[in-house]
Amino acid sequence: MMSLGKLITLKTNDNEEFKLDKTVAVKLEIIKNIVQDVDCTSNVIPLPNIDGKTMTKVVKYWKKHSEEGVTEVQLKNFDQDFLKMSHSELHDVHLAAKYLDDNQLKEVIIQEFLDRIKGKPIEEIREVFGIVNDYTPEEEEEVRRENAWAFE
Amino acid sequence: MGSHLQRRKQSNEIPILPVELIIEILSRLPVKSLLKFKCVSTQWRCLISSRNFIKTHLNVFTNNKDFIHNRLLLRFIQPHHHLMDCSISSLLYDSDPKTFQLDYPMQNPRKSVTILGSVNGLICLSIDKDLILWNPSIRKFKKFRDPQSGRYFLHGFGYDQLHDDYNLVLISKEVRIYSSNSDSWRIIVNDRSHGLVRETDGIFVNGKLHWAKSPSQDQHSYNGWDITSIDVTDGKWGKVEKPFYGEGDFDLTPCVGVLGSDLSNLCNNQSLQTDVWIMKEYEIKESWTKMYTINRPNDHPEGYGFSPLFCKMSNKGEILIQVDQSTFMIYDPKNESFICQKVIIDEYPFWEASIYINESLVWPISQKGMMQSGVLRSLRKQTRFEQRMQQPRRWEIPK
Repeated sequence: MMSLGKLITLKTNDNEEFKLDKTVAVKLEIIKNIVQDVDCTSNVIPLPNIDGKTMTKVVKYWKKHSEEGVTEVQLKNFDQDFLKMSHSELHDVHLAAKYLDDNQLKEVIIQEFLDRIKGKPIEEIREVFGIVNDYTPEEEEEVRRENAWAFE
Repeated sequence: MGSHLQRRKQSNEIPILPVELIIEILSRLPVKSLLKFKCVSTQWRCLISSRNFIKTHLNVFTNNKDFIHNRLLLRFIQPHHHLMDCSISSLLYDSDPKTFQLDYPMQNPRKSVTILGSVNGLICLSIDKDLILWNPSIRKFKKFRDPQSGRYFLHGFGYDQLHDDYNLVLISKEVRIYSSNSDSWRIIVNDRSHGLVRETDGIFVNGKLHWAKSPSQDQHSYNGWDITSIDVTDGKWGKVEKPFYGEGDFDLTPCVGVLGSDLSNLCNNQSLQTDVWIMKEYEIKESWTKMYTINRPNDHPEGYGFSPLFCKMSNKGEILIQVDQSTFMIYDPKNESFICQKVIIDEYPFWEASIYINESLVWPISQKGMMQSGVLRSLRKQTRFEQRMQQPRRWEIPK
């Protein structure tokens, strides 16, 4: 196990380095676990599955959410801004959060996807998820009929 | 991830999100939305209908422990036979709780309907001599034969997690267990049913159904009673020790209930107090804990005796307590006070009440039954789809 110094460096797969203050890192159970698991003498933790662009976002989120004296309202506003990204970017952050075992961030992303599809008609749902409708019109009509009451 | 990203950049289109993420998103949606979303694509239809997804949805959305999906099911025999339902949040927050008449399968105002139990959004009913397994949220049911023709004195409905099977237990001279997967009955050894307290619902906790048992005629005897169980997976009988109440003057009605996901027991003592006991660790006698002592209001001429139907209502811990056949009380353990003294449901008294989960995708018909009803084509697709889902994930955490 390596010692927790003042700074911890996270290194992404495209060799970008993120220096995290110990006070930020320690609040993250995930980093603590990685630090304990990784057997290395330096304070650099490699993140082979995350690129720099995504990690910039993750670190931004972590920093804000571990800021001292930050208010609920400030966090809410921050999250709103933070989530203004494309579906594919959201997906990348979700994968990163999953890899880093950050349940809070994972939930925030899933909730954003849910908000994006809430109350939308089927056609728009397809657009959000990039899905091509592979039903024949007759088949789609049949499935609609089977669940007609759900559309009421 | 590199190749994945590159592929996406090359195609320069809206990314197709991976199945795992879609499952995470969809498993948080209510049933009605999911039924609509079956129209999105054949893949989504197969996903939403797959056994794996139905289970995931049950764990994520339905059983998320905030109790918002719990509803109260009430059975009336006046002015005619019918069922009503009421949301727990309406009981909690509305001064005049909203109840709805529930349309159930094979409804007949002249025929008596009995609630035999509910698990995972499925409700088991008995109407006349028919038994019915019904999921109101997807509006599907199946009818099956009652081999006892209504001649049983105890019943219980449970879920066998090992075989993903729903089971109805009927106890008379014989003890029969119905399996919804095989659509058949089996008879188990009956050497314990003597003394079971009659006409009570089997309480389903930890894969087993539980009934209070009182061998002596004196049902209020201190030592006389215990809890008997049947494991729905293997049909074996078992025994659960009752709490050690300590010294005092108790009015012990043998009863067993469920609070949260634990077995519970009520003990009314003579000084207008009711103790609520919970078995925190299943089958560990020492884990019986006196959770709350509730001061019963003294405005009732004969005094209140709480019945075993009660449940947690929210994660704040409010408890719903049935008082009599038209009245509930809502108790807040944090402030040791009643939030709501009395909730009267309807102008007519209800005959029985039970708590049920109002939303799940669980089918009352086994997959065998689904094939017979002509859904073979989508099932074939579904199998292929499930095979694909079992392939290793792209994103494995390196060892």
